[in-house]
Amino acid sequence: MKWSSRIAWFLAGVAVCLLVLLLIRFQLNWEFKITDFLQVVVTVIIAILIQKFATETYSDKRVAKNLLIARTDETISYLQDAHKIFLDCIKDGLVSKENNTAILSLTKNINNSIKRLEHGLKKCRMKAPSFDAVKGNRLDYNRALTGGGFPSQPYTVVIFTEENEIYNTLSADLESMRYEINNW
Amino acid sequence: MTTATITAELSVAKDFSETPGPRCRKDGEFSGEGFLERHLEPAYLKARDEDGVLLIDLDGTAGYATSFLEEAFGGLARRYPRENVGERLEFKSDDEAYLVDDIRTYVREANDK
Repeated sequence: MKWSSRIAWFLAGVAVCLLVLLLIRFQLNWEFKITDFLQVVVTVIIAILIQKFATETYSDKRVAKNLLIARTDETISYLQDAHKIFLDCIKDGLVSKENNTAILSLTKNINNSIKRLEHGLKKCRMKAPSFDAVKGNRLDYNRALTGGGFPSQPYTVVIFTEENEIYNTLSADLESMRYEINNW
Repeated sequence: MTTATITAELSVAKDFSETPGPRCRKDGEFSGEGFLERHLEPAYLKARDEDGVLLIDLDGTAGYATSFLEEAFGGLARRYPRENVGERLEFKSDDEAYLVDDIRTYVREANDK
């Protein structure tokens, strides 16, 4: 709402009150000091400013938090999909052409969604302590999924253990991030 | 960062393949080894001889496996001094922002293996 219309509404409210008081023949003591008048004006202005500041700050912060939480959820979802396909490859004992394409696409999505999260955190000037760990583990996860003899050789037991470990750490860090963002 | 100008360009998608493959030639088509020997090394040498920089466009592919990138760029750093390789290569990657950092890591760690 514009300032002019706010003031107009306020004055209209005062006018209605005075009208009501006149109609009920209320006796007003019109004797007042200029300091009383100024005090009322200042109080009203401060009240309006506080209300405006609190409303805007709170709603902007909530929108930013929701966006970042959505980005975090997106990353978690890509990570879960990649892990599922990885387990399929372990079960099949090979990396099929379809799974190869899916893993490359999902690692790209994981990387890009982490990058978007980084950008968002920077823009919102928000510090999420778990993000450094997420960023640190990102390359290790890529290496576990698509390093070594990928995609021509099947995943080994060593890679299976490594992937599981990094997957669990990354998932836990991303979950922690959700709470850190929400409690910001 | 070097002040030299870009004297050579290489697009992985246009000059090599939109679907980069595995690490070694024996493992399949469009390998990192093949890319290194047929495209990356000659283009790098050309840029080095002209005292310039090789710009590599990484966009337009279906995605890169770490094995491909490590063999191609890490492989180049195993053949030539890694500081020089790092200085002579510049990258364009709009599709995947972290890719450039990752490749620089493979170049940096190449001689440690």
